[in-house]
Amino acid sequence: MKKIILLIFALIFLTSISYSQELIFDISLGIKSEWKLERFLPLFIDIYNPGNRITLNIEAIYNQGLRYAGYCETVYQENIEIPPLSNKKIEFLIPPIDFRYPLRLRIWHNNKLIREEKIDISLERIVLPLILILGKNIPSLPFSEKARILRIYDEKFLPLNYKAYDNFDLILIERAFWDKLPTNLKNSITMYKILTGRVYFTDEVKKIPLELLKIPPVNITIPHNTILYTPDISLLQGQKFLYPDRFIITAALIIYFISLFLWKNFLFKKRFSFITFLTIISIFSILGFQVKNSFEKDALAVGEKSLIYLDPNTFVGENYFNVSLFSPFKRDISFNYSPNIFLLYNAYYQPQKGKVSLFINRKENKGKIILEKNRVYFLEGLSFHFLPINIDFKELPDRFILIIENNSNFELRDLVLKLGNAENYIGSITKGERKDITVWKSGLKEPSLLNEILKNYRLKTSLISKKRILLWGRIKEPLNQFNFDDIKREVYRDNILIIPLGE
Amino acid sequence: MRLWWITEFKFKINDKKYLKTELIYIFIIVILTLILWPSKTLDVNKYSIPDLFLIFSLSHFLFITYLSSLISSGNLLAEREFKTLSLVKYSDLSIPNIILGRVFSTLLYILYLFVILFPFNLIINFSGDISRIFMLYFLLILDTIPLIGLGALWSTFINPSLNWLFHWISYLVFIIIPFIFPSTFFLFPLNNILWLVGAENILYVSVNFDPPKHIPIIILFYLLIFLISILIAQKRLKYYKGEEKE
Repeated sequence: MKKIILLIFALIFLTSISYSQELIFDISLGIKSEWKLERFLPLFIDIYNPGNRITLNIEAIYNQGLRYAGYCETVYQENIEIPPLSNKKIEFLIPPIDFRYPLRLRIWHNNKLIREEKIDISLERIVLPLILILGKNIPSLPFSEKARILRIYDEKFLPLNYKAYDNFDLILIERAFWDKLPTNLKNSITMYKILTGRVYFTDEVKKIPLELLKIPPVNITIPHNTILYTPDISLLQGQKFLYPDRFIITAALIIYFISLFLWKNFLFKKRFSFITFLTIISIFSILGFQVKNSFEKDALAVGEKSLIYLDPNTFVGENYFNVSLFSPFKRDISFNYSPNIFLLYNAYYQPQKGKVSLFINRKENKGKIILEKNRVYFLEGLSFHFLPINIDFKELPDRFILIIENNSNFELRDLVLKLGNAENYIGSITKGERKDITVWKSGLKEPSLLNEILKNYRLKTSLISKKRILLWGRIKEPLNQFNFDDIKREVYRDNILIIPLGE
Repeated sequence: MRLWWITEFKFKINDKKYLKTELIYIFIIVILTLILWPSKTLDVNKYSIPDLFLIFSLSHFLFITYLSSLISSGNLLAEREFKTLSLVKYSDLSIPNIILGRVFSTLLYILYLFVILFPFNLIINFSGDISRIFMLYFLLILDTIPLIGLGALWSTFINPSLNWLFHWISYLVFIIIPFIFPSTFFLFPLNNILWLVGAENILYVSVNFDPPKHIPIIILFYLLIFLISILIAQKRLKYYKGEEKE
């Protein structure tokens, strides 16, 4: 009897390891494969595992650039374990897609490629406006005829990342459905509403501005989905590397050769000449090692440019950032980044050659890239911040009255009040400081510097251009943390903070 | 076999003639470093940092191959060194001992140069791996072997101007001509150095060198040149010795 039971167990074990069933994949770019060009969008991978516990490596590969002149590749990697007879859903946030390069997906198991997929697109569809209705009933709305309307009444189709809703031109929610939603989805939709204003309840239809209802299709142009229009390397200018300078090196070399000369003249015929020779060589070799180490540890220039849009009511800020990297020597760099960065990609700007790959491990917030010598690389991404800056704003016929209380960890520098195309300088506000400010309308001067700065940004929060009165300034401290392993470096920053005050 | 060549190597280290050559090269190194050393401040308008390893690998290559040919052909004799022919005539050493001794003393002197250049090479290696320096030394030794062999052959000529002429011809053929037509033939010593320093990416020359395929071939071929020239040199020296005895 024992033997039979053992045999049965052995058989079960054998069948379970030998008869591994095919995994079932359901891959969808956008919710139910509906997405729009020039927008951030989600990629869902739903995997059903009918066999044994399995560990998979999933890679989503996003490209930017030109196939022949060079391109930038970002590989988002995720390692998942799926228990037997269960489903697992993974969500990636993807930057605006270049329609010439379909998104690619690779799924690995034990270093063996088990599935590779190119996600095809139909250009006719993805240029049209896209409207999401959450709930069972479709309200009657004067939508433009060509708009695609997607109705969802099951929360499992909804993305968790708030930026993934960017793909929709308008989101309408039924109140009954909203009440049923879990808190994390509510939070992400709320955050999306704060930062874009494109979310309404179905009973608020009358409040929806006309421009949100009549959206023209996207024009198909060669896309450059970067944050800036042109590469900006001005922040790298003048950065100091920490390796020794030419005069120190020359002096060290001269001392070294003179010591060899002295050894030849005075010590060569002495008793311990070989030992003294070895001592000289080893002392200077150690010094040489130190110089070599200083190249490995220090020579990296980093510039960070970012645009932060802060909602003054909720203190939630969204940051579009562009990081330029320059290494005078070839090096593999790996870095980790702060968890408030929820999207990071390798951006393609015109004068780049060859293929550049950035590997992103989303779980551990780690990135890897190989820098060739004498070339500038760009990483771009999005992050969110919490900046408690209390602003009490009043507009009187001849002046504005502002009470600003800075409770954040940063000093706000060079604050400027902007009204249309005119500006007035306010000054800086340190951490924890409270200031009462009066700005006379007669003191506002044209033109606005911010308008000039914003002209360089291709991707930015859509709300910025709509608001008439803005407060803007700069933050010198680091907002996003990039820790490059074993490299000491200086970072030059240009963080611009924009706070809307009134319509 | 007596180790007479170690004494000769010691003379080389201590001699003024050799010191003069070393000092000239050291002067070149110091001046080039002073001029080419990367600036500490990044200038975005011309962001390029010279690859000193490439520049100095090529200059080491030129200097060391030149020096090895010069020494082994007997054109840079120190005060207390002997000419190969004088050794054959007046010493009781056997002919293979004389030729190999000269080769070894030259090789030892080149190794000595490698040692004193090591701290400098470490500095200009920038962030590269140290194994690159050892590979450079290996390839330099490999490239000097045929020149040393040929030099041993040229040192058997009585006429000093013939001697000098042959030294220059072999140096030009092996080292200078490939500089005029880079990357034409993998047997040229320049090709392996260009491969090592990654000149393909920097100088935009197409380097014709595939290490796993070509290194065994060049080792065999260079050793063959070396052996043949040494054998011919032995034949010639035997002839001189025989003539003397008669």
